[in-house]
Amino acid sequence: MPLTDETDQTDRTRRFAALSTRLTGFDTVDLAATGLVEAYLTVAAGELGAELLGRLLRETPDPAKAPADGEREPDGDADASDDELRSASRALTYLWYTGSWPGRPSRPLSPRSYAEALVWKAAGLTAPAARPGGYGSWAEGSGR
Amino acid sequence: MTRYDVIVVGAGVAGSLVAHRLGKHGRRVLVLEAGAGDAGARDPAADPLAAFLRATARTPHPAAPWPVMTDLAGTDATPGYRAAGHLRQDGPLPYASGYVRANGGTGNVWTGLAPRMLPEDFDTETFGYGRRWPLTYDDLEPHYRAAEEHLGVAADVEEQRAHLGLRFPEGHVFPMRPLPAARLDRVFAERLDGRRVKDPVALGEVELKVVGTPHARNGVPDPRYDGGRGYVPRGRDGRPDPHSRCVGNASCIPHCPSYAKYTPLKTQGRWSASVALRDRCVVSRVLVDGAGRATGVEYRGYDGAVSVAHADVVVLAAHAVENARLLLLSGLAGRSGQVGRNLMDHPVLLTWGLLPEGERAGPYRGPGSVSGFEGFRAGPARRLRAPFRVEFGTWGWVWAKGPVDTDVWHLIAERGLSGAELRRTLGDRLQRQFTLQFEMEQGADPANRVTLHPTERDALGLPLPLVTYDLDEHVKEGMAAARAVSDQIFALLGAQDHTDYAPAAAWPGRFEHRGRTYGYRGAGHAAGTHVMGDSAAGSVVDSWQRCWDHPRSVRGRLRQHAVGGHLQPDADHGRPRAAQRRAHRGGTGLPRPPVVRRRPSPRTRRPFHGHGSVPRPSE
Ligand SMILES: Cc1cc2nc3c(=O)[nH]c(=O)nc-3n(C[C@H](O)[C@H](O)[C@H](O)COP(=O)(O)OP(=O)(O)OC[C@H]3O[C@@H](n4cnc5c(N)ncnc54)[C@H](O)[C@@H]3O)c2cc1C
Ligand code: SF4
Repeated sequence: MPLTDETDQTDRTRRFAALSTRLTGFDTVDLAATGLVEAYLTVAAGELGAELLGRLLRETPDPAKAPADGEREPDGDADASDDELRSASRALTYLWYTGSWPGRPSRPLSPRSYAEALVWKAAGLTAPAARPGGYGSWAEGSGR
Repeated sequence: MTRYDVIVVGAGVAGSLVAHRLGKHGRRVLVLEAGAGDAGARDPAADPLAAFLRATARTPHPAAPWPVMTDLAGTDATPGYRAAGHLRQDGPLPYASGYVRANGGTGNVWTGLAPRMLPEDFDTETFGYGRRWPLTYDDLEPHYRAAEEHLGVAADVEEQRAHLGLRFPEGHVFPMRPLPAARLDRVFAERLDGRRVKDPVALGEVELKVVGTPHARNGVPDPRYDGGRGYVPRGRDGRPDPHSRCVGNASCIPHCPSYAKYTPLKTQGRWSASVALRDRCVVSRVLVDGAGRATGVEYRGYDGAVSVAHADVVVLAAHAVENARLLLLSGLAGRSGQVGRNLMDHPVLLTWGLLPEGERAGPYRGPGSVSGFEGFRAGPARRLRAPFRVEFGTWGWVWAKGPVDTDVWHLIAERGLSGAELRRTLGDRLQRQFTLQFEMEQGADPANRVTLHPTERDALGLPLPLVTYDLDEHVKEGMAAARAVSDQIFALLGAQDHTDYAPAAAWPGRFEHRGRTYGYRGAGHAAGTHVMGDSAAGSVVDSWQRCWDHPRSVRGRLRQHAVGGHLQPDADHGRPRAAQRRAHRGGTGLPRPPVVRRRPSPRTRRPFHGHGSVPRPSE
């Protein structure tokens, strides 16, 4: 039934937005304002596959507790599934921050992805060529 | 078949200007351009962001290739680089600059800084290196002014007089008022103006002073210009646009969406009806008669079809590397043995870091560099080391480390950050980033040269250019002095130095000198290759850029900057572009040769290539 599908879809989107908030440090209102939540959910599903994305939505490990590359315990005890989830989380974080999926010729998915990349917002800036600040705006102190 | 008065090969800055000047005098001019006619910026329907993204994604057509950044990679072996792609190399160090073969040429992607050369730059033989120009600053001064009018330059004449020692006519002002200083410039001025730094190579001290750089981008017109007649900025396609201003898109390389930056397409928009552009025409040979006079050119379409066009005069304006390649392909101008030699650039030493905590550099808000230090360009120190300009890089670390994606990946993957901590750390890091760009002058050295590759061919079957290049002691000593100056500047600022010429793959231009490692990029300022001089014995062209061997016919046109590149004796660290224009004052039908020099290479876009990749050359 369409109703059920829609409900599932809405629920998935909501969980995806919550996950994205946790990964990026931007609240759901900020993320919704980019207009990219649905698009990135689709990208993530395509890149990660339904199964991994499903797990990610259910049980993302707290990324703050993840060891950085190179600091991994040598005993190899870390569970492969955790590794998989962690690298999926990183890819998704990178997508939100740059507008592109990591590991391929890095090109934003769309002009909107480029303009809405969170890296610029984190610094109080706008993406080059996206929304110019006006003559002399480079002399001012902070972001716009 | 139509016969033309003049054929111009190449529709970059030099070619577009020459055609403009000739057209104004009613000459029938055919401009043959290897690249595609629409450089991706002219579609009136395109929204600015789409135009920018398209320029960013521009890649060469196989029939008219150009060097791109991925062609060059560093290695741990000797030599410490590998060169694939269009520009092959076999020298000890890589020529790290590229260029663009699309309509408008390298001037589509240039930074738009338009400083003049210093009077003493025209004779470095006085300082024991390089070659003397057969011209002086005063010969060129009126042509600099003409160039500054055509390009539309914003600068402060008093500052240029006082801090660079440049001579201007009494009462002269630039077309537009100087651009406002960037936030970073103010931070530097506050902390550094009046401080003295030691130059351990020249054993002197230099007082630091932040000086605005002349810009070929629209600012506020100066009503005093031209004896009180004022100046009207030019916008898209060179149309008068009184309100056109640089609005801080921070995307000048590769494209200014508000058309505030000068590009050759603005000149083309002003061509008279007697000038015709034919794109996707790769000139493969200059034709001459029995007396050595040029009669026309042979060119190829992208399908390989060969055509011929005839004219009384042929102007080569295809960029320093491609002009030399064309002369060599044609077997012309060989008497002096200097064709292709004296290839130059402004090799750039980069240092980068973070302002002290809590301070902001205000990056990515305007042009890539607004101001610099000019105190290292002149004087007797040049005997001991290359002189250099210091540009303040206001686009974070993009030239050194690649696009901001690199920082994002570093924090996520290497430092394991996410959530609020990632957001805060990244924002803080970006806001504090700055780069110092030390652009070295490089003297004319016949050993640095372009030849034809003995075996490798492009898609049209033409031999690829082969470059043999190195940096001499003079340049390396300049970099050593620059690094020492950088260390002192970082200390005075209390800034954190993140300079590190690693990994090797990201620094093809890397060498050891007196126990320290240096990494350099190319500024895109190709020059030389058809050196200008007083006699046919030691030079390819005279001071009018006429080939000695082909009187009144083949003119090597250089590139811009100070010249067209090819010609000039030394790639001065002042950017010569303006000089090019000087050339145009002539008045008679034929253009006066631009004597400018050039520089070029594309720093073509660095934006998106994910983590790990290296940006192209800069500036
Ligand atoms: C990233 C970057 C930043 C720069 N910033 C500055 C700056 O701030 N200030 C400054 O003064 N200089 C700067 N430069 C240098 C400056 O852009 C160049 O010196 C200048 O554009 C060269 O102009 P040109 O007309 O000689 O050659 P180009 O602009 O390279 O034009 C040559 C033209 O000839 C065409 N062509 C080539 N071969 C053939 C052939 N066989 N047949 C037909 N056509 C051919 C090409 O397609 C091209 O259109 C920069 C360069 C780069 C790459
Ligand atoms: S800073 Fe922006 S508006 Fe100014 S010249 Fe560069 S691209 Fe154009």
